[in-house]
Amino acid sequence: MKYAHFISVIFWLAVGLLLSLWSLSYNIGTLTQPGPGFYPLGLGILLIFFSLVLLGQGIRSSPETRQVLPFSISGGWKRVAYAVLILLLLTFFFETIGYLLTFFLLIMLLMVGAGPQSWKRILLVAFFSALGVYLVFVLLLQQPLPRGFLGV
Amino acid sequence: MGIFDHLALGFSVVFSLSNLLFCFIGVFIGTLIGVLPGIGPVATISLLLPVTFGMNPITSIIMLAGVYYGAQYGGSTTSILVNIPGEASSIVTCLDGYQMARQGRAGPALGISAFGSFIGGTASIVGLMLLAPVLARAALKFGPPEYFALMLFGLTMVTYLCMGSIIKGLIMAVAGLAISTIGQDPIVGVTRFTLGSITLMDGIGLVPVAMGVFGVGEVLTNIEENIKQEVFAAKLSGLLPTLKDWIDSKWPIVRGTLIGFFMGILPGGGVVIPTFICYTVEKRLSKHPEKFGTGTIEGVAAPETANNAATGGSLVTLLSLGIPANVSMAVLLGAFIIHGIQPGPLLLTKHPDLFWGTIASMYIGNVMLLVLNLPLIGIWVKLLKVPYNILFPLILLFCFLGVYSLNNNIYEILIMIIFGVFGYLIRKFGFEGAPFLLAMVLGPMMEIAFRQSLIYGDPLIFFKRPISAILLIIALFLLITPLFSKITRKRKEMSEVLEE
Repeated sequence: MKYAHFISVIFWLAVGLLLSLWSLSYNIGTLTQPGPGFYPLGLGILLIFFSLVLLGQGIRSSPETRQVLPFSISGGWKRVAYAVLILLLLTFFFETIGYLLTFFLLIMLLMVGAGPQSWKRILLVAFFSALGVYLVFVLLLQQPLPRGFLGV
Repeated sequence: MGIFDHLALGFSVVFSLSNLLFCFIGVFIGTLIGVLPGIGPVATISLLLPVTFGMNPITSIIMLAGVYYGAQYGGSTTSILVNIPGEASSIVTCLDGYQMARQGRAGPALGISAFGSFIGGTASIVGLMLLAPVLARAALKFGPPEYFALMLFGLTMVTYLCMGSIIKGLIMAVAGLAISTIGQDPIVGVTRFTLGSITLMDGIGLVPVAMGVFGVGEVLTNIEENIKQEVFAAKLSGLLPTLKDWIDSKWPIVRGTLIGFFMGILPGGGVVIPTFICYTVEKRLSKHPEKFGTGTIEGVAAPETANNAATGGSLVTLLSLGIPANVSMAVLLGAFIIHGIQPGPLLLTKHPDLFWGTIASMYIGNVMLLVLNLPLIGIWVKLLKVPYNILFPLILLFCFLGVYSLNNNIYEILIMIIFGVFGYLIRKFGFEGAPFLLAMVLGPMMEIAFRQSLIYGDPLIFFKRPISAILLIIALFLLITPLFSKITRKRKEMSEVLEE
C-alpha cells in the first residue's frame, strides 16, 4: 500500500471516530424524532465506513505502486511552509500594525521567499500594492480596514 | 405572459447604465482570471462578494454570473499560447490548441474558440430560458424527501464525475457535510462543535473555505511546483478562421453545444467533464482520428464550445431548483442568499426581474465577450508574461483582503489559511475539493430536508415516494457501477490526462 494512502486512511478514520464520539454528546433522538446529534453521528459512521473501504482498496493495490510522501524532494514544500507562516504572522498582527504595513510586508516577504529578484522590484511591487489597496478599497469602496498604530 | 414578454422584461432590467457597466466589469474580470492560471471563478466570485454588499441584488448577480461565464472564454487563451490551461475546463484545448500555435495557427485557434464559445454560450441561454421555468413548475410539487433525494443524487453525481477515486470523492463529500454541521442546529438551535468560539456559532462561512481551498490552496500547490510560464513567441495574425476552418468546426460546435448544455444541467457535470466527452466524441467521429493531438481545429472548437454551453446548463438547476450543479454555482448560491434571495421554484414568481434580468444579461455578456476577447488577446498575452512570483503574492493579498472585508473578522482569515493548507494537502493526497465545497453548501439544506422527512413518521419514506425513490436508486446504481472495470479504466485514463 502507498504510504500516502495509509496516512489518508488514518486521518479520515480519526476524523470519523472523533465526529461520531462528539455527536454522542448531543441528543441523538429516535428514527422518527431525530435530535441534533443524529445527523452528524450518521456522517461520522459513513466517514469511518468509507475510510475502511479506502483501506481495503490500498491493501489490494499492487506492491510496485509503493512511494514515499507526495511532496517534492527539491524542497518546494519549504516555500509553501514559508508562505503559510507569513500569512499566519501577518493575520495575528493585522489589527495592530494596520492594513498598509500588513499588505506592504505581505507582498515584500512573499516575493523575497519566492526566489532571487531585485530588491528594487520587490519594494516597488509591495509599495504600489499597498497604495492600490488604499486607493481602491479605502478611498473608493470605503472598506473599514484596521489602521493600526500608523493611523492611516 | 409569454416567453418573449419575459425576455423583454429582462432586457428592460439590463438596459440601465449600472447593470450594463457591471455586466461588462463581470465578464472582463472573468476573462482576466480565466487567462491567469492559479485563480479561478470560485475564488473570484467569493472575493467579489463583499464588494457587492452595497449593490442592488440584480446588479450583483449579473456581475458575478458574468465572472463565471467570462472565465470560460479566457481559459482557452493560456491553453493555446502557453500550453497551461487557465481553467480546468480548458485542459483539453491544450492538446490541439498549442500544436496549432506551434504551427503558426494560434490566430485561427483563438478565433474559433472565441466564436465557438459565443455560439455555445448563447445557445445554452436559449436552453436555460426554455427549460428553467418548466423545471421550476415541476419542483413546486417537491416535499422534503424529494429535496433530500435530489441533493443526495447531486452529491453522488459530483463524486461519480470527479476525475479521481470515487471513494475519495465520497469521503470529501461527507467531510463537507460534516463541516456544515458546525454552528447552530438548523431545527432546534442547539450549538454544535463550536468549542465555545463565537465566530463558529454562525457556522463556518462559505467564502473563507472557498477562498482557502480554491484560492490559497491552489497558490500553495503552484509555489511548491514553482511554475514558470513561457508565452509562445509566434506573432498573432489572422484571428478570423478561414472558410475551411468553419466547415471543419461546424458539427463539432453543434455537438459541443448540445453535450455541454445537457452535461452542465447534471449535478456535478460542471464545465470540465463535457470538454473531455466532446473531445472523445469528435475523435471517434472523425475520418482522421490520428490527426487529433497534432493541431486539428475540431479538437479546439468542440471543447471550447462545450465549456461555455455548460455554463447555461448549470444555471438551470440553480435558478429553478435552488440546487447548485457545481462549485461555482455553490458560491453563486451563497451570493443569492447573502442578498436575501432564495433561488428555487419560487424565484420565477417572486423575483421575475432578477430571473429574466440575469438571462438577458447573459445574452449581452456573451456579445461583450466576443467583442472584448479577440481585440484584447494582445493584452492577455502581455499579462501572461507577468512572472508568477509577482502574481501569487497579489492573489494571496486579494484573498486576505476579501475574507476580512466580509465581516471584519480576523478569525475568518485564520479559517481561510487553515482551509488553504487543507486544500493544498488534499491535492497532494489525491482528493478533490469540489465535492467537499458543494457538500458544505448543500449540508444545512440536506439536514433540514432529511430530518423533516423523518418527522413524517416513516424512515422508509424516501423509498415510498416515487421521485425520491427513483433518484436514490439512480444514486445507488452510480455508486455500484464503478465496480465494472471498463468505467474504472476510463476514469483512470481521464485522471492521467489531467495529471499530464
